[in-house]
Amino acid sequence: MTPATVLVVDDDEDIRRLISFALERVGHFRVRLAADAQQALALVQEERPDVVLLDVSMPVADGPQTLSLMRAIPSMRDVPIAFLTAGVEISESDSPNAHRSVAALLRAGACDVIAKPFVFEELCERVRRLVPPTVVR
Amino acid sequence: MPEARDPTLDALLAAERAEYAKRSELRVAEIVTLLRAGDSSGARRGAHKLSGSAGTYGYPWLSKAARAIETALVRGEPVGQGLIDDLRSAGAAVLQSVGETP
Repeated sequence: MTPATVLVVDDDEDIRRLISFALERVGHFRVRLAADAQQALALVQEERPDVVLLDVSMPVADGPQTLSLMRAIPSMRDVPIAFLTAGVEISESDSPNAHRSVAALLRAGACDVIAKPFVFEELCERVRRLVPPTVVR
Repeated sequence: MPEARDPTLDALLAAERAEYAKRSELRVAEIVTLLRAGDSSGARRGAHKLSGSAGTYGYPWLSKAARAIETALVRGEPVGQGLIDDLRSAGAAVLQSVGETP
Protein backbone atom coordinates (compact mmCIF):
# COMPACT_ATOMS: atom_id res chain seq x y z
CA MET A 1 0.00 0.00 0.00
CA THR A 2 1.26 3.48 -0.84
CA PRO A 3 1.68 5.88 2.06
CA ALA A 4 0.01 9.29 1.96
CA THR A 5 1.84 11.88 -0.10
CA VAL A 6 2.58 15.23 1.53
CA LEU A 7 3.66 18.22 -0.54
CA VAL A 8 5.80 20.64 1.47
CA VAL A 9 6.18 24.16 0.08
CA ASP A 10 8.76 26.33 1.82
CA ASP A 11 11.38 28.70 0.42
CA ASP A 12 13.84 27.81 3.20
CA GLU A 13 15.97 24.82 2.22
CA ASP A 14 16.87 24.12 5.87
CA ILE A 15 13.21 23.85 6.80
CA ARG A 16 12.40 21.67 3.79
CA ARG A 17 15.17 19.28 4.79
CA LEU A 18 14.00 18.95 8.37
CA ILE A 19 10.30 18.63 7.56
CA SER A 20 11.12 16.02 4.96
CA PHE A 21 13.24 14.15 7.53
CA ALA A 22 10.43 14.26 10.10
CA LEU A 23 7.62 13.25 7.75
CA GLU A 24 9.56 10.45 6.04
CA ARG A 25 11.49 9.00 8.98
CA VAL A 26 9.04 9.55 11.82
CA GLY A 27 5.67 9.75 10.05
CA HIS A 28 6.46 7.32 7.19
CA PHE A 29 4.83 9.62 4.68
CA ARG A 30 5.89 10.07 1.10
CA VAL A 31 7.17 13.63 0.69
CA ARG A 32 7.46 15.93 -2.28
CA LEU A 33 9.20 19.30 -1.94
CA ALA A 34 8.74 22.67 -3.61
CA ALA A 35 10.61 25.91 -2.96
CA ASP A 36 7.91 28.26 -4.25
CA ALA A 37 4.40 28.54 -5.66
CA GLN A 38 5.51 27.95 -9.23
CA GLN A 39 7.21 24.65 -8.39
CA ALA A 40 4.29 23.63 -6.18
CA LEU A 41 1.70 24.28 -8.87
CA ALA A 42 3.72 22.26 -11.38
CA LEU A 43 3.96 19.35 -8.92
CA VAL A 44 0.26 19.26 -8.03
CA GLN A 45 -0.68 19.15 -11.70
CA GLU A 46 1.71 16.25 -12.16
CA GLU A 47 0.39 14.34 -9.15
CA ARG A 48 -2.36 15.22 -6.68
CA PRO A 49 -0.95 15.16 -3.12
CA ASP A 50 -3.02 13.94 -0.17
CA VAL A 51 -2.00 16.88 2.04
CA VAL A 52 -0.19 20.17 1.40
CA LEU A 53 1.92 22.06 3.96
CA LEU A 54 2.44 25.65 2.87
CA ASP A 55 4.82 28.15 4.39
CA VAL A 56 3.13 31.51 4.98
CA SER A 57 6.05 33.84 4.26
CA MET A 58 7.40 33.19 0.80
CA PRO A 59 8.64 35.63 -1.84
CA VAL A 60 6.60 36.30 -5.01
CA ALA A 61 3.44 34.40 -3.98
CA ASP A 62 3.02 33.95 -0.23
CA GLY A 63 1.17 31.08 1.45
CA PRO A 64 -2.38 32.47 1.21
CA GLN A 65 -1.84 33.45 -2.44
CA THR A 66 -0.45 30.00 -3.24
CA LEU A 67 -3.43 28.41 -1.53
CA SER A 68 -5.80 30.41 -3.76
CA LEU A 69 -3.86 29.40 -6.86
CA MET A 70 -4.04 25.74 -5.82
CA ARG A 71 -7.76 25.89 -5.10
CA ALA A 72 -8.31 27.15 -8.66
CA ILE A 73 -7.09 23.78 -9.93
CA PRO A 74 -10.14 21.45 -10.01
CA SER A 75 -8.25 18.40 -8.65
CA MET A 76 -6.98 20.45 -5.68
CA ARG A 77 -10.33 21.79 -4.46
CA ASP A 78 -10.70 19.20 -1.70
CA VAL A 79 -7.07 18.56 -0.78
CA PRO A 80 -6.37 19.52 2.86
CA ILE A 81 -3.93 22.43 3.01
CA ALA A 82 -2.26 23.56 6.25
CA PHE A 83 -0.06 26.58 6.80
CA LEU A 84 3.36 26.44 8.40
CA THR A 85 4.37 29.64 10.09
CA ALA A 86 6.99 31.09 12.36
CA GLY A 87 4.99 34.30 12.36
CA VAL A 88 2.06 33.35 14.58
CA GLU A 89 3.68 35.23 17.41
CA ILE A 90 3.93 38.36 15.25
CA SER A 91 0.61 39.80 16.29
CA GLU A 92 1.62 43.34 17.11
CA SER A 93 -0.74 45.80 15.53
CA ASP A 94 2.14 47.75 13.98
CA SER A 95 3.57 44.68 12.29
CA PRO A 96 3.06 44.31 8.53
CA ASN A 97 2.44 40.64 9.28
CA ALA A 98 -0.37 41.35 11.75
CA HIS A 99 -3.00 40.24 9.22
CA ARG A 100 -1.43 36.80 9.34
CA SER A 101 -3.03 35.81 12.61
CA VAL A 102 -4.07 32.19 13.01
CA ALA A 103 -7.71 33.22 12.57
CA ALA A 104 -6.93 35.05 9.34
CA LEU A 105 -5.00 32.07 8.00
CA LEU A 106 -7.88 29.73 8.80
CA ARG A 107 -10.29 32.15 7.11
CA ALA A 108 -8.02 32.07 4.05
CA GLY A 109 -8.99 28.41 3.71
CA ALA A 110 -6.36 26.49 5.67
CA CYS A 111 -7.38 23.31 7.49
CA ASP A 112 -4.75 23.89 10.16
CA VAL A 113 -1.95 26.28 11.12
CA ILE A 114 1.23 24.61 12.34
CA ALA A 115 3.78 26.75 14.18
CA LYS A 116 7.51 26.52 13.64
CA PRO A 117 9.45 25.36 15.59
CA PHE A 118 7.57 22.06 15.81
CA VAL A 119 8.01 18.74 17.57
CA PHE A 120 8.43 15.90 15.05
CA GLU A 121 5.79 13.64 16.52
CA GLU A 122 3.28 16.48 16.81
CA LEU A 123 3.86 17.57 13.23
CA CYS A 124 3.36 14.00 11.98
CA GLU A 125 0.22 13.53 14.05
CA ARG A 126 -1.30 16.76 12.80
CA VAL A 127 -0.55 15.79 9.21
CA ARG A 128 -1.99 12.32 9.84
CA ARG A 129 -5.24 13.89 10.98
CA LEU A 130 -5.46 15.80 7.71
CA VAL A 131 -5.03 12.75 5.50
CA PRO A 132 -8.39 11.74 4.04
CA PRO A 133 -9.70 8.44 5.51
CA THR A 134 -9.49 6.68 2.15
CA VAL A 135 -5.70 7.10 2.06
CA VAL A 136 -3.12 5.09 4.04
CA ARG A 137 -2.08 7.17 7.07
CA MET B 1 5.92 8.30 29.49
CA PRO B 2 7.29 9.57 26.17
CA GLU B 3 7.63 7.03 23.38
CA ALA B 4 11.16 5.68 22.94
CA ARG B 5 12.59 6.73 19.60
CA ASP B 6 14.66 4.60 17.28
CA PRO B 7 18.36 5.23 18.17
CA THR B 8 19.22 5.20 14.47
CA LEU B 9 16.76 8.00 13.98
CA ASP B 10 18.36 10.00 16.77
CA ALA B 11 21.81 9.50 15.23
CA LEU B 12 20.51 10.67 11.85
CA LEU B 13 18.90 13.67 13.45
CA ALA B 14 22.12 14.54 15.28
CA ALA B 15 23.93 14.46 11.94
CA GLU B 16 21.29 16.73 10.38
CA ARG B 17 21.63 19.16 13.29
CA ALA B 18 25.41 19.20 12.98
CA GLU B 19 25.14 19.95 9.25
CA TYR B 20 22.68 22.71 9.98
CA ALA B 21 25.04 24.18 12.61
CA LYS B 22 27.74 24.53 9.95
CA ARG B 23 25.30 26.11 7.48
CA SER B 24 24.02 28.53 10.12
CA GLU B 25 27.46 30.16 10.33
CA LEU B 26 27.02 31.23 6.72
CA ARG B 27 23.46 32.45 7.39
CA VAL B 28 24.69 34.63 10.28
CA ALA B 29 27.48 36.08 8.11
CA GLU B 30 24.96 36.84 5.33
CA ILE B 31 22.68 38.76 7.68
CA VAL B 32 25.59 40.84 9.04
CA THR B 33 26.76 41.59 5.49
CA LEU B 34 23.25 42.67 4.45
CA LEU B 35 22.94 44.91 7.52
CA ARG B 36 26.29 46.53 6.77
CA ALA B 37 25.22 47.08 3.16
CA GLY B 38 22.04 48.80 4.36
CA ASP B 39 19.80 46.12 2.83
CA SER B 40 17.15 46.09 5.57
CA SER B 41 14.69 44.09 3.53
CA GLY B 42 17.20 41.35 2.74
CA ALA B 43 18.44 41.29 6.33
CA ARG B 44 14.87 41.01 7.63
CA ARG B 45 14.14 38.06 5.33
CA GLY B 46 17.39 36.39 6.36
CA ALA B 47 16.73 36.95 10.06
CA HIS B 48 13.16 35.65 9.70
CA LYS B 49 14.35 32.46 8.03
CA LEU B 50 17.17 31.92 10.50
CA SER B 51 14.85 32.47 13.43
CA GLY B 52 12.42 29.86 12.11
CA SER B 53 15.01 27.28 11.11
CA ALA B 54 17.23 27.61 14.21
CA GLY B 55 14.27 27.07 16.51
CA THR B 56 13.13 24.09 14.48
CA TYR B 57 16.60 22.51 14.56
CA GLY B 58 16.76 22.91 18.34
CA TYR B 59 18.88 26.05 18.72
CA PRO B 60 16.48 28.41 20.50
CA TRP B 61 19.16 30.92 21.50
CA LEU B 62 20.12 31.51 17.85
CA SER B 63 16.43 31.73 16.96
CA LYS B 64 15.95 34.37 19.65
CA ALA B 65 18.95 36.45 18.52
CA ALA B 66 17.75 36.37 14.90
CA ARG B 67 14.21 37.25 15.95
CA ALA B 68 15.47 40.30 17.87
CA ILE B 69 17.02 41.60 14.64
CA GLU B 70 13.91 40.79 12.62
CA THR B 71 11.70 42.56 15.15
CA ALA B 72 13.90 45.69 15.11
CA LEU B 73 13.80 45.78 11.31
CA VAL B 74 10.04 45.21 11.16
CA ARG B 75 9.57 48.13 13.55
CA GLY B 76 11.92 50.30 11.52
CA GLU B 77 14.33 50.60 14.43
CA PRO B 78 18.11 50.67 13.97
CA VAL B 79 19.90 47.37 14.50
CA GLY B 80 22.55 48.21 17.08
CA GLN B 81 25.95 46.58 17.41
CA GLY B 82 24.66 44.80 20.52
CA LEU B 83 22.10 42.85 18.50
CA ILE B 84 24.72 41.97 15.90
CA ASP B 85 27.14 40.81 18.60
CA ASP B 86 24.36 38.72 20.18
CA LEU B 87 23.67 37.07 16.81
CA ARG B 88 27.35 36.27 16.27
CA SER B 89 27.74 34.90 19.79
CA ALA B 90 24.64 32.75 19.36
CA GLY B 91 25.98 31.44 16.05
CA ALA B 92 29.32 30.62 17.65
CA ALA B 93 27.54 28.79 20.49
CA VAL B 94 25.67 26.66 17.92
CA LEU B 95 28.93 25.65 16.29
CA GLN B 96 30.56 24.90 19.63
CA SER B 97 27.59 22.76 20.62
CA VAL B 98 28.42 20.38 17.77
CA GLY B 99 32.15 20.44 18.46
CA GLU B 100 33.11 22.92 15.73
CA THR B 101 35.37 25.92 16.21
CA PRO B 102 33.82 29.19 15.01
